[in-house]
Amino acid sequence: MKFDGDVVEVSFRNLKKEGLRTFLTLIGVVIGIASIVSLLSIGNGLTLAVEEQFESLGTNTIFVIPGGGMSIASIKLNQIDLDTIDNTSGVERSIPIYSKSGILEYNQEKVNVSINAVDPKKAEDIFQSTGFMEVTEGRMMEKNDSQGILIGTTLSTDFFKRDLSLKKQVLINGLSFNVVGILKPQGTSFGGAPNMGGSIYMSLEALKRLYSESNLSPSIIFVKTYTADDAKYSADSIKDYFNDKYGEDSVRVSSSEDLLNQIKTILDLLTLFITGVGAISLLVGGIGIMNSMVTSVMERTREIGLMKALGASDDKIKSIFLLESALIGGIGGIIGIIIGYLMSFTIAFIGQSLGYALEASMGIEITIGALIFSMIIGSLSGVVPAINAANLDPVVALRYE
Amino acid sequence: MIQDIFEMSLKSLTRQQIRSFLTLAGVVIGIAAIVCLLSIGQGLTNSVNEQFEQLGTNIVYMLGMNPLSGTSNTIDFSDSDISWVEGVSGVDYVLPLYSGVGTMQANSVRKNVMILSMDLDKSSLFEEYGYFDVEEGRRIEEGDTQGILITKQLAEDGFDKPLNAKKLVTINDLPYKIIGIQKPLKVVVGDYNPENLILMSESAFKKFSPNSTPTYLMIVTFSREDNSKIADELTKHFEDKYGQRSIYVYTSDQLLDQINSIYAIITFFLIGVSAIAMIVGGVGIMNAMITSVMEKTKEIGILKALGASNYTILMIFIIEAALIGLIGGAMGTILGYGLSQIISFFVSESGMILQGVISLEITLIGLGFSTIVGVISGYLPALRAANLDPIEALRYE
Repeated sequence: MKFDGDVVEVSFRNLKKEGLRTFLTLIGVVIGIASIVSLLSIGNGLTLAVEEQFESLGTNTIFVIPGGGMSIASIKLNQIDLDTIDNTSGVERSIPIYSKSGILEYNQEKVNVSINAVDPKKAEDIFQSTGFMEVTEGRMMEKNDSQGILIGTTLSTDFFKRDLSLKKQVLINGLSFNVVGILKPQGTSFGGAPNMGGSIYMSLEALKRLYSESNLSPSIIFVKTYTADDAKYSADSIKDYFNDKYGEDSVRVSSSEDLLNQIKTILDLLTLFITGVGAISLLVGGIGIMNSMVTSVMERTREIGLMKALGASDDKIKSIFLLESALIGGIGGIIGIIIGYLMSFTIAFIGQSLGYALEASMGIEITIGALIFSMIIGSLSGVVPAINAANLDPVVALRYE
Repeated sequence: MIQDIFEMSLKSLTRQQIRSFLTLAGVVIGIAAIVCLLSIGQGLTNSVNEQFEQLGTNIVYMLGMNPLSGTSNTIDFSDSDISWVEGVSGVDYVLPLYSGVGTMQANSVRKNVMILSMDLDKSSLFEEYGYFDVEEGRRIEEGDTQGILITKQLAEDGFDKPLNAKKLVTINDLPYKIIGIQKPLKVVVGDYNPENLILMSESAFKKFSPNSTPTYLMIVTFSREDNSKIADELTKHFEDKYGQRSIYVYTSDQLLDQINSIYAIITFFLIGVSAIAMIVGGVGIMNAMITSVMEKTKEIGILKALGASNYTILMIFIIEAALIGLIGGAMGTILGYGLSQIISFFVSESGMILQGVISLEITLIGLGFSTIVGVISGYLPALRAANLDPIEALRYE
């Protein structure tokens, strides 16, 4: 089949002649493509946001979570376990985080808070690179600081009748501490870490004042390996160690890559499902193209007869109508892609101003994919009408009223 | 007169069969998607509600922690706390639930398992729920201090060889005997169903973990109406005692509302996305109507010349469009129900509860929405037809 200049000209002219019908058919395709593009773009943006969060944490990280992620962690890791992790080949250092909850008293008001303790020196780079703990007021706690605590913004402003501000003294489980810093509020990502605005942070030294050492067991351990490759192998050997010692599923060990892949799989499935629902409208749009092509062929029966009588081949007639429907698909696709991106960026913008880490991504795959998809839908919808047109008997067609 | 208009509309639909068929197909697909999603969404909500009814709706739950301030227990409920709760007016009885984690060993394979325990003399509300139905062996009783009930998944797949009733195992090196294997529970889609679960009596748990205190309390009240009053009273008492956010109290109604609103949001979002297809279908109706008006220009001219009012012409075309909507809607509704029943069948086969709902409301939504879309899409073309100048129209080639 050849698309020479004449064919293209005829197709364009026809589309223009039936302006209103072409316009309405286009709208169908535009809406379909726009909804697919915007859903894909938001879905991809979510995946990218998660990826970024993981990358800021480092791809050379392993997460060790006692209790296998069940909410009631019961397996207590001891110093031997921590030493074993540190001595695993490929491991640079491990950063245990201890979480407890306690009663914070200020101005005679009591509030239950979650207390997180960590060695500030060891964890410095994690906090800096992720912004997980960024101080807006005051300073970071120091290694042997057994008095100073950092508090989240929510805790500082929302909990007590009078704001809990910097340098104020508070009681935690009856012992006195000083607020040395207030943390920057974090945006909540979809399915990401919970907002820690109501938590407090302290050094390990400080936590030991509150709880005896035998009662302390890390709730999560960040393990840094030398390279991203090491993370994979070290994770396996740490997993083997815990499986042997405490039994299967007792401690969850996952490298950041594992975790990222899990989250990505879920997000991808979700995006696929929602886009699938969105694609229904493109199907309806395709039916619209078919409908308008059928009408167009019927209206031009005489014209087709004339062209055939003047020597136009079946192929040429077919290509005129195929090109026409592909053009509707293609043009509708381009407009739809533009509108789709505009929509997804608007949604992302609104999401961001509401405090969600929502992004829209503009990918070459989405763009090209949507364009090709719309042209395929256009051509497919045109096949049957085009064949019908090509098979018309010129004598009968010329006689058609 | 109205009958004439109807006849005319119908005739014009049957004349252009391919076009009518394709226009209908667009509407059918859109409505089918909406009806199918509504039916499944309603089905999910119904099965959640049924499960709650089974467990009873006169329950207040109290956790010794607040999800907003951490994941570990902040309060250890003491015996005096529990008896205080029992003394609150409106409270029938309190069922403390204990949970823990342990390492279970069978045939030299070790595995981390979750343990759930409660006073089995007071556990009647779990019984209706099928929690203690056994597939093999017998159910456990409060007197069983060494006997345990395990889930079917754990028995079949947890260890190198399947475990049978009467098998001896150890948990944290203490000896236990499997008395029964639990019948698999039917769960609602999206519900968490722990596979590696062991059930034991409260007396057994007290031996397993002597210092443990309840993870949460299920407080059974005399009437559902009292629930929120009792919840407030509990919150006040325990927050005064242990500080703000030290506990978390919710009633079964609150929990149900929460779950229902999550399902509603998801359903509405999906329906919103699929309603886009319906808009495209509407555009298709409009397009078909415009073509139809154009083709019938001469006919319209004759009708007008013979005295048909603008209103009659308007109605002819609006009814034609509404008919496309209504017929497409009816077919789409049937197709949508069919799809939802097929999906329900496959989901039920996989062991979850789902029954797509067929209801008058959903049917009316399907038919109503499609008819409205038809009328709206047909309005402009119909107006165009009504406003044709009869002289111009008669001259039209």
